[in-house]
Amino acid sequence: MNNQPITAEDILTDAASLRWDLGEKVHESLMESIFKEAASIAGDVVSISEKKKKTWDHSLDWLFTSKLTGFPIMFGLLAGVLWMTISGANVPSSMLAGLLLDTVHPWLKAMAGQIGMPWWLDGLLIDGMYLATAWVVSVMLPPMAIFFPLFTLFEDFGYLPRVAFNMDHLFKKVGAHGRQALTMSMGYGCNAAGVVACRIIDSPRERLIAIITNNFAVCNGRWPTLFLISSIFVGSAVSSPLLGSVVSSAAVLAVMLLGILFTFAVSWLLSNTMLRGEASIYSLELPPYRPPRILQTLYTSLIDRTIYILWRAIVFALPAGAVIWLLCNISVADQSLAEHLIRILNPFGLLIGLNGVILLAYIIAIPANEIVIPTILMLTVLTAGVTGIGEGAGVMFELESEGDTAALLQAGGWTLLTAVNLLLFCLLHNPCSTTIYTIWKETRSVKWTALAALLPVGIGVAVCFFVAQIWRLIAHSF
Amino acid sequence: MTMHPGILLAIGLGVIAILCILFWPRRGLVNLWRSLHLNTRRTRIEHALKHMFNNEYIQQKTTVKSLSVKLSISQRHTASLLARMESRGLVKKTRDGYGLTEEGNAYALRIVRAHRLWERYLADETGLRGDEWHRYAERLEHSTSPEQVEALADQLGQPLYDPHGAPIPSADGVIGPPMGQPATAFATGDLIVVTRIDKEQEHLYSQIAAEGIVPGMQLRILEMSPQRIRFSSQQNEYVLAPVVASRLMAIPLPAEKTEEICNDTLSSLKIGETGKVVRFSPNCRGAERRRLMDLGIIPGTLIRADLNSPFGDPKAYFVRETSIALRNKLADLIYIEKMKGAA
Repeated sequence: MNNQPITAEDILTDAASLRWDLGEKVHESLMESIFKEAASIAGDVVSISEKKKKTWDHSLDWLFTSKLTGFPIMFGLLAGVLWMTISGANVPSSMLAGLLLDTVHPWLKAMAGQIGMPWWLDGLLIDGMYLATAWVVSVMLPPMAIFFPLFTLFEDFGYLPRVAFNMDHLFKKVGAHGRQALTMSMGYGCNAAGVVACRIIDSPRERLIAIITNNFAVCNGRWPTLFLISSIFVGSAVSSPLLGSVVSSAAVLAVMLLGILFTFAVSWLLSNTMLRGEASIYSLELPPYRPPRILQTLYTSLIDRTIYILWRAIVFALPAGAVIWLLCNISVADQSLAEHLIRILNPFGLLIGLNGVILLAYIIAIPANEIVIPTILMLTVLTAGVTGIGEGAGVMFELESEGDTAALLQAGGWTLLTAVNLLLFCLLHNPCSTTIYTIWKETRSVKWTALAALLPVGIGVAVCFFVAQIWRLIAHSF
Repeated sequence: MTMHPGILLAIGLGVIAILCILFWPRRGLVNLWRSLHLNTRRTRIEHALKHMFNNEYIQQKTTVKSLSVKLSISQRHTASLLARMESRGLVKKTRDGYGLTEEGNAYALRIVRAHRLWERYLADETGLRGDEWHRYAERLEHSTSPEQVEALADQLGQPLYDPHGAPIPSADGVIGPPMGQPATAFATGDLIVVTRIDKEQEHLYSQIAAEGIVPGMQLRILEMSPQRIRFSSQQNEYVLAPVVASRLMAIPLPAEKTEEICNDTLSSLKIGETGKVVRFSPNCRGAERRRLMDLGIIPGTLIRADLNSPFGDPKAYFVRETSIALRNKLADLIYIEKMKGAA
């Protein structure tokens, strides 16, 4: 022993040389010993006696995940939830529309008239901002208020992880996570909610895939467009009315299935190109079943999902309403801005088998897919020079009868090709601004947000273009 | 004026073809253009330094010829590159080739540290395949500042080895000794642990990487002949040519671990059977390995195969009173000892 004091450098050199002897597994062995300690404490104080519940869980598991019964139950439940949402939302939706659009709107107009509000302010605030917001609320709120609580009940019961478990194999083949089946289903209710739901996917790569492809699940804001267009154009192309309704439903279903096809194709493409480098880890907890807590579920799904999404939609609908009204009412060189824009967009629109009105409607109705059809109708009246229909420039409306709508659109130059391409474009276009904003909030990345916004619209333009050319080629040769 | 739809169709297909040519992953023009720009004078010097450092580490000589092969440039260019490096005080002529000066050695250590840390990062935290780590690290090492390198090392928990088993120099330039000897030096029947895969000759290395052999793997030598060497691990058999196997450095398997080589994999458990986790395959690393540990799947844990999904993949396992589904690919990487009777 010498009496030299030990300096800090000595300790550091010692530590540096010991580093190589210690090996790489030091963190892991620390963790192992912590687990062992925790397990032994838990073993002393926790007793487990749930034999009975376990057999119950096991038979439910067998029912939900066996080859024979797993898939029929799953598709049956999904179809049931969608059916309940669509048919159950009709009544409250028309009640809300009656209240907000047919009662409050004229009343507000009358009030504005009484206090002597200038026409442009009244138009901007009431016909533009109020009407767009009221439209979004009346179409969006009821389905969401039915869909999300139902979904949350299944989640609470413990069924949804079993769906992910069943579907994982299919999603694995395209490089995605089984839970994407859930975020997709959620997307049928609302893409913004679907994107938020992607938080349940805990692997970075698969989560991004699910976020970017969620838009291929047709959200309930787009269903009315699909139903309306397919029934007035595709359905009426068949002579018998009964067959017509079958054909038009088949068209809607085909668009939905095409959406699923695109989800898988784009997932595969992304996981093999842009997202190849992102980390991928898979594990899925299958929690025990438990009776759902209905009141709590209703409360959380209303607050967390419905109100939250609705609020964002309103925030985006207000300025959009103003933009729509202003475009139609500011005139440059004897024509409104909207008419100028439509004239500019028309050649490109016709090239891809749509028209300028549809493109402009999709651009200015970015905040919500719900107002696409009212905007299209309003713009068609504006440009086709039809008189006696509608409420004036910049005021959105819908027609009571499908026949009138068809007549108006045909006056606007629509053909069967326009309708088919609108169905395709309805599936394949950019997500609404609420969803885009949500994607940004979830990923915090401009790159992925831009990709999620532009990829679908790029695919949509390409698909419409090729369909239009092939369609015309066939029409030419006859 | 409207164009014939047939012409438009052709134009549309043409546009798609052009986009494919431009943006095709790896072989697209945009990518090729980018990799051309990487080949600057500085990156070439840094690659040369790395090559010389690696040679000195395994006590081999660096000559103009070996360097020109490594950098795939002509010997004339290589000579002028070396002259430039000599004038900057990075290399010096020795009796039978070139060697690093003290300054050159420090520079090389910095680059090697950045390279190996990046490889560790790419292996642990990204989904890139084993044969891609090196290629990406070759690009990243030049654009990483010393501060970024240290931040990376902290984030990774100051790792000791890169994913090929080569030691990572510490920040003050200390590097561990080489470990193991070529697999060709062992005999039939030997049990070995892979310690390092030499990647100085990339085509040989990529053959080993393609087989999925990584450091930490336990192998049994089944056959050792001048034509081929045959190994087996838990599930697989590998056949390598001796020249390839000589790039595989290994040590004998420690005596206390010899029975581990007989372990089964978690995926081989049938529904209802129970096993005890022994260890993870070295191919299970980074985020994946941490996830398993987070779930409480660590050596010593009892685990029971519980439920099959309709397609047979994933399977649910019962571990620590919880049911957790794992894909078979991951379950292949968890080694267990089968238990008799119920847990």
